Amino acid sequence: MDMVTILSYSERIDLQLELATLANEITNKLSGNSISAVIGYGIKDKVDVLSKNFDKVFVIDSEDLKLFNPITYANVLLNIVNNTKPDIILISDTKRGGAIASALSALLDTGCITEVTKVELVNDDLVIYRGAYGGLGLAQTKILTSPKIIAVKPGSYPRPTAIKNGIIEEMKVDIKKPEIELVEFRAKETGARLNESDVVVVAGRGVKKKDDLQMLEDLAKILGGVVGCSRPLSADLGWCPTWVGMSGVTIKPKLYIGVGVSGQIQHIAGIRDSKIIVAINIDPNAPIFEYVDYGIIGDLYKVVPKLIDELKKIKG
Amino acid sequence: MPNIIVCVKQSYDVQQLRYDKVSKQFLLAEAPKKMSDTDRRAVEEALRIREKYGGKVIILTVGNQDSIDAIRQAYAMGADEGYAIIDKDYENFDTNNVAMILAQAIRKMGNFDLVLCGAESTDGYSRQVPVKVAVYLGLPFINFVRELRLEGNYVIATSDYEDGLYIYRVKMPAIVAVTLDINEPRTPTPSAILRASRKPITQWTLKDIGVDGVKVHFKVLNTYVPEVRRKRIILDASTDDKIVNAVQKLIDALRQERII
Amino acid sequence: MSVPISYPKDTVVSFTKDEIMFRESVREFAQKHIAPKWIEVDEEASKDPMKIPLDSIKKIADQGLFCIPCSDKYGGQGGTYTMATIAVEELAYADPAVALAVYTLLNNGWPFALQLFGREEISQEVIPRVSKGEAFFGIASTEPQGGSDVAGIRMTAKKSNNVYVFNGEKAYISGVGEVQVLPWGGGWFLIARTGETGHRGLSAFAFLAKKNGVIGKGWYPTIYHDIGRHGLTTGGFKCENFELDKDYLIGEENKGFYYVMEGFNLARILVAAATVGGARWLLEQAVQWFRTRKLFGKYIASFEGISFRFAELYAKYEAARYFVYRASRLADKIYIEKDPAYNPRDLNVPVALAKMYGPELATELGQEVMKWYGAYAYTKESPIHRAWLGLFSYTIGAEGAQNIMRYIIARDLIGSEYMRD
Repeated sequence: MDMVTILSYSERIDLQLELATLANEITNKLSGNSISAVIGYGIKDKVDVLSKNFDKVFVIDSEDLKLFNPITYANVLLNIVNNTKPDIILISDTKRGGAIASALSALLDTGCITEVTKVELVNDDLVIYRGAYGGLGLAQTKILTSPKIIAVKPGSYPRPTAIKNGIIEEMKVDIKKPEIELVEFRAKETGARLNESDVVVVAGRGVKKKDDLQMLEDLAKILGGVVGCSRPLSADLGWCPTWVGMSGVTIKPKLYIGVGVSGQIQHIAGIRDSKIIVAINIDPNAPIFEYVDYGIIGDLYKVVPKLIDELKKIKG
Repeated sequence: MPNIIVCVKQSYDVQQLRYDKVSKQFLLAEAPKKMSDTDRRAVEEALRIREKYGGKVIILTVGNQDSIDAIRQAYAMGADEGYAIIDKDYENFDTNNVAMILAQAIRKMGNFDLVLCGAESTDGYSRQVPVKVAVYLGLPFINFVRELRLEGNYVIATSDYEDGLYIYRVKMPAIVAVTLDINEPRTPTPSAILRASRKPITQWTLKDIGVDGVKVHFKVLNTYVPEVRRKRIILDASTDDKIVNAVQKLIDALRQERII
Repeated sequence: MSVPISYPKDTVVSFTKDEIMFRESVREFAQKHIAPKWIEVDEEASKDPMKIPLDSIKKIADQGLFCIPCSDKYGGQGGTYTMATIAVEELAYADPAVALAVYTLLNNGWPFALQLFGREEISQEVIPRVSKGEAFFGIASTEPQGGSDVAGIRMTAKKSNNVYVFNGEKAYISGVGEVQVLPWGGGWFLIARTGETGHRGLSAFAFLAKKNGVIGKGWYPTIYHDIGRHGLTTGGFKCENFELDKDYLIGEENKGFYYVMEGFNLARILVAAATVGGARWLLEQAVQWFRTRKLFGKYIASFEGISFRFAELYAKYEAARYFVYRASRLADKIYIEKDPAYNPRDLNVPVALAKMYGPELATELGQEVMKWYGAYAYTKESPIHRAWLGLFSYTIGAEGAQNIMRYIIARDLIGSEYMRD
């Protein structure tokens, strides 16, 4: 490939920046253009930061995009694809992004890989890594058609330092609104951005009441971190807006502390790249102990307060 | 009286998947398979809709001979009809291929009101197929649904996104992908399982549904188990004395790691 | 010339697709509904034996796990005996203290024996109730003076017009509490004396202590405090002129000994299955422990005294499991497929092997796993002792003492005439 064109899209500006890092990595080696697509409603004021990280930013801002639907969004994105003829399309693999990438792949009749955690350039070709078999494995894959659509898990790449001075171009396109009506929206509490913190304390089923999360908040605060939940606490009990693990958030903090987390493989898949993994669990047989650097077998309601006390002594 | 087509996949049971300790390769030939967890919930949801509103639950799968078992399982749960598109090259099919085949089969079957899918498969986890089926069929699509009901010719579906729950209303026919949270699927009784094995399954080839061949869009070079390099230092905190000791050891370790 | 040791008629042990799907289904059910509560059930009922887990019994019934081999015309599942075996194994794996597994096995083996030998109307009355979880149907053979000597049973049943009148006492009987609290009631495949001394004077009855919600007159139960397997009651009862309609006689008068021996063969397969399921849980506890526990800076399984012992016990587990399913497949040939090449006596040795081996393996394994865990296993917090104590009940005796199993095996191979004084 000489002179590649890479088009990046995410519904979130911060995740666009993660994609910019990957795009830069590729264009630094192969030379080419890194383009950003921003689509939605009421978003055009927020794109300045992208021009510092991409060569060009296309903006489609329309009230017709107020109601999200992956197929509508993919069709809108198709306009920018037709305009820019990218070789590679990077989309952040959020719930919305993954579906847009998939729909776009069907519209373009080209290959798409989701759940991507790493992309490598080998002999001018992309080797794409994604989780496999419920997070137990890693798959090395290759897309055989063009453009290659790659949906990258949030948190897989850091943010770049601004180096570009790109141009912003607004586009007007015809939008076919979906025949879907939004009846009601119930916002979730916006939780901490788990994949941006150096320290993440995750509550598992061993935590008995929602109020007990405060204890974990205290621990996280001393360590300068945030608190997240495992899947059952989020999906079943609704204590957190999202969870750590497959189909939730993938994190790779410097320190992960699982408190009362048993460690299902889908959870492990979401924390595997953490630098240090610590677990506190009363059950010596909790599978998480197979994946830890440090494991404490004991009652979290006794261990965590003690840990907080001792850390307070050190940190004053 | 809605006719509901449920797309299911017979997946590797990742909980029981083993790998070779030396080569780090998965031992797929011996791996047990089961219907994908979310697909099983899609079947359950279809059965619940049938219990409430009547109609038929029709199961559709694409795969190799093993995928017949997914239909048998859905039968044991109570599904009415089952269609399997069997192809020996199935293992090489990508998500575009599978979605296109499902869409073709659904077109051939006709006479449906709702297509239910699991939002992701247990083994592949790509989340690509349902939306692609919708694109190919040109029908409205609602993703990540954790609550579903019908209102006349309309589906009312609660989509679970990162920022909140979106309750959509869409006219049937439509494609809906459900999440693990939508229900707890039934576990069939012995007599239901025995009855299911006597029920016929319609098997089609690609030719039967008018597909001449498939073009593969990507390939998997290698799938392996990444190395776990962890220290695995286990500290006993079963008594008050031991808690003090364990906490101290952890703090010392975190200092050495330069975390604190 | 040496004496050739004959090998009993055998069947290859394999599962049908239906059975494989059934195992998945029952495992999921048991892991979801039984496993999360087994410790609580065991703890509560250890304080008060009448804390019977009625909600779990209802769930097991709704899942179709009672009366699996019974015909669907009696409200059974119309399944194979191997399916019943699978159900019991998986329930024991989910509840290794085995209270619910044993409750389930009794309600499979004995209703099936009732169907085989009893009058059709009685099967039609009892089996649907057991199937729905509204009634219990177990075995009442043991008496205070002993259990293994079935021929020495003393409880009498005297025929008087249209009824049998019972007098005597039964002891160490499972389900005495359940029969009282379940809405419909139930009872036992009961053995009592109707004729001469010895085994030729015994008859079998569908002895319903409580029927249609009403406890019969002259029936006086007591409940014991067991050391383990809490959640299933054990007790005894006295009969003082307890009357039972003559239709509840099972088969012919004075043939009860033969029926109950076949019934025991069937039930013992399931008992052994329960111990194998519990053993699987214990093995998993061991493996998990080996993967986390270090001693002197080394994983404990790096000591061969531990890992080799584990390997030996695992071999015994596989053997025990083979014995169980070989016997259940044979039971299918005899009782479900009714293959004329097989007869009930072919089960004697295969069943004795399973019933001798499974409980002893499970108990040995339980002790060994506790030693591997060390002091933690001796605390109440650790669940392992609960499994061990529950499984131990089958080394003590239920459904035939261990030495009876040895006797059956030895008698068959050596010849009973060479085993007399």
